[in-house]
Amino acid sequence: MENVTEALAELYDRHGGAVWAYARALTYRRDRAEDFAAEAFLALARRLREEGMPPDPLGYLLAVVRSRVVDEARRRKIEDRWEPRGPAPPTRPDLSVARAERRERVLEAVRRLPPPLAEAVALHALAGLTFEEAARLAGVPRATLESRYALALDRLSFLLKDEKP
Amino acid sequence: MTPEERRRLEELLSDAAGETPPVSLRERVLFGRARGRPRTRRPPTFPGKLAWAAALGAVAAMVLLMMVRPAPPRRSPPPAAAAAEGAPPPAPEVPAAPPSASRRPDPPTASPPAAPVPSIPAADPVPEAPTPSPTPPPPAGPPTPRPPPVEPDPTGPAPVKGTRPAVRAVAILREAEGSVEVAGEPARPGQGVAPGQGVWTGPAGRAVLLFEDGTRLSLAPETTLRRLEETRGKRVELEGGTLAADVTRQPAGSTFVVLTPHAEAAVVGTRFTLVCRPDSTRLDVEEGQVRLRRLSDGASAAVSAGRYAVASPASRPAALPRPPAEIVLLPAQGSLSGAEWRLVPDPAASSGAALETTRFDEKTGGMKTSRSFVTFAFHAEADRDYRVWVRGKVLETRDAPAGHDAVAILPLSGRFDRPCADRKTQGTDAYLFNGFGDDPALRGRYFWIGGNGLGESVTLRFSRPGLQRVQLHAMESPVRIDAIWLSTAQADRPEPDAKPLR
Repeated sequence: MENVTEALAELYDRHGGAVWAYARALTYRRDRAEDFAAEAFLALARRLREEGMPPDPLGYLLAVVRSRVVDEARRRKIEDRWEPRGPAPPTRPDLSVARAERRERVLEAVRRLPPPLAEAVALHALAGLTFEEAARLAGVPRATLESRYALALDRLSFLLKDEKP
Repeated sequence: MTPEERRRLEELLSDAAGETPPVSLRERVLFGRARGRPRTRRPPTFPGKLAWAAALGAVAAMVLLMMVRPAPPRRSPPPAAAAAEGAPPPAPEVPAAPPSASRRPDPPTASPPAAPVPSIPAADPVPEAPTPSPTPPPPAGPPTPRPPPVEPDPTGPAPVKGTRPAVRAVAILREAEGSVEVAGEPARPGQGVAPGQGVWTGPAGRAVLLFEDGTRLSLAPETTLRRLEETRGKRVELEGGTLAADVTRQPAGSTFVVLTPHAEAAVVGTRFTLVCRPDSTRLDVEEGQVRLRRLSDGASAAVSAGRYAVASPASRPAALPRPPAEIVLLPAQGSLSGAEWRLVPDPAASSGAALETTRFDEKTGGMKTSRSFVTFAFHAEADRDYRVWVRGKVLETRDAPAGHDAVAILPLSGRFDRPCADRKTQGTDAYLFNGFGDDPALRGRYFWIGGNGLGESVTLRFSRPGLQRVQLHAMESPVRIDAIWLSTAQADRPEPDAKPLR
């Protein structure tokens, strides 16, 4: 049990940021993103106890988040699977308001993309996967994912035309 | 889409990816503090295709729409930054050498290659790749080679025939100590560094480069900057050594890029340290955020302040919290196993409690088979030398003479720098800390020792980064332990009442 806890702590330190970024890109509400991310790690903890370490922990975590998002969308039976935008997220105290707001606008632009394009961006640019890994997780050929990513950037270029890094 | 536009978008996304997860998420994951009951209905599966099939239809329609959509308006180039009061002086012009026919080959491109990408590394959450020290020590291995003299980039305006053209410097050498060379020639402070030229520091050399916008690069000894460029943003090729950067916020569409043989760090405006070793590149971010991208396959991580990442063939970049350089293990942090140790209140101890052993059993099977010890779990870095100091005291009783005063430390994933000269510990996987009864003047008081004897000190190096565990074993009794200090800075035995550095 102690080993599982330690392994989970290490995996959280290592992949928590990527899982959080991915979940944030796929859902408007921060609390739901947190639910999805937490569920992913809980599922991983159960997997660690029952079957041991999965071959690709990050892929496993992202797959859980992805599964939860799709389940939620199906349950709500909405055409656009994205949830309605929730209240404005609180700004982090260690960030300037402008920067936090810009991050929110960027994530919002990603969420406005069609789901396959948003996922390509979330997997590659936000979660840090290679195109190969992202394609494997999304279940599409690498070339498809790369073209989706390029298409997504093209759309983002329009949606974020006024944003400066 | 232009490369500048793509870079701008990827910077925005990189910044968004660096958002730190909320603390409540960590608590829910690690401590089970649920804000609401999480749904854990079934094991994770990859979702079906139905929802995505519908979405793909939407994508196809979107693609068609976008094909007829006019291109987005091109962004006007950013205005040149006005020279603010107190800003660094403009870089001087340096005379350009005549063009050379032996042009250095182009550096590797930063974008991931189109070739097949290797599969995701195996499940070990802790990379086995060596992790260099975060402080800027001289890099291990052979000294990095000096960059050969590189001619200034002849991409500027065509020189007037018959005159010696002047090339504007990318940066000036603000400080130079010891052996420092620019483009293969000994350098002096104030000298300009032209596009395409490199900078080299020798074993005792240090240099500081200052760019016109105030960006400052500090080069540790034995560092080679192969070349500096300033075309679309600043670009520096770090061939080996340690580079500390304080990057002024770059104008829109422009980045500061440091390229190493293994990785690329793209910076918008931040402070960071990059250590390039023969087999890996380590990035430590002090302020802001940097994306580290492994060149071999494009795997990347957004590294924010207080975190670090390593790119190497065996380790994909991942932003990890930087463990403290000074690690202090107090009695209450230990997890007790067996009957030999107990936690006792002690006003003389630095934390008000001590670990006491009075019932030591001879370890006939050795430490590794003993079931009685204290385990400490903490985070530490790999391949970093931690000098180990133990603060304790001997308990004098009628039954036990004062010379019985030894404990041993057994790291579960690390080794000491040498074997202990004592029959009770063999090899470098454990070390004896002995001598709490050796100094009559200090007998009965807490004081620090560094190994098997008062004058000794020993260093411990962990083989993997992240969570570490060490065991404290009783080798003689009775003795009390007040603290264990793993230090990267304390080289000499601390004074008896010295407090560990924090």
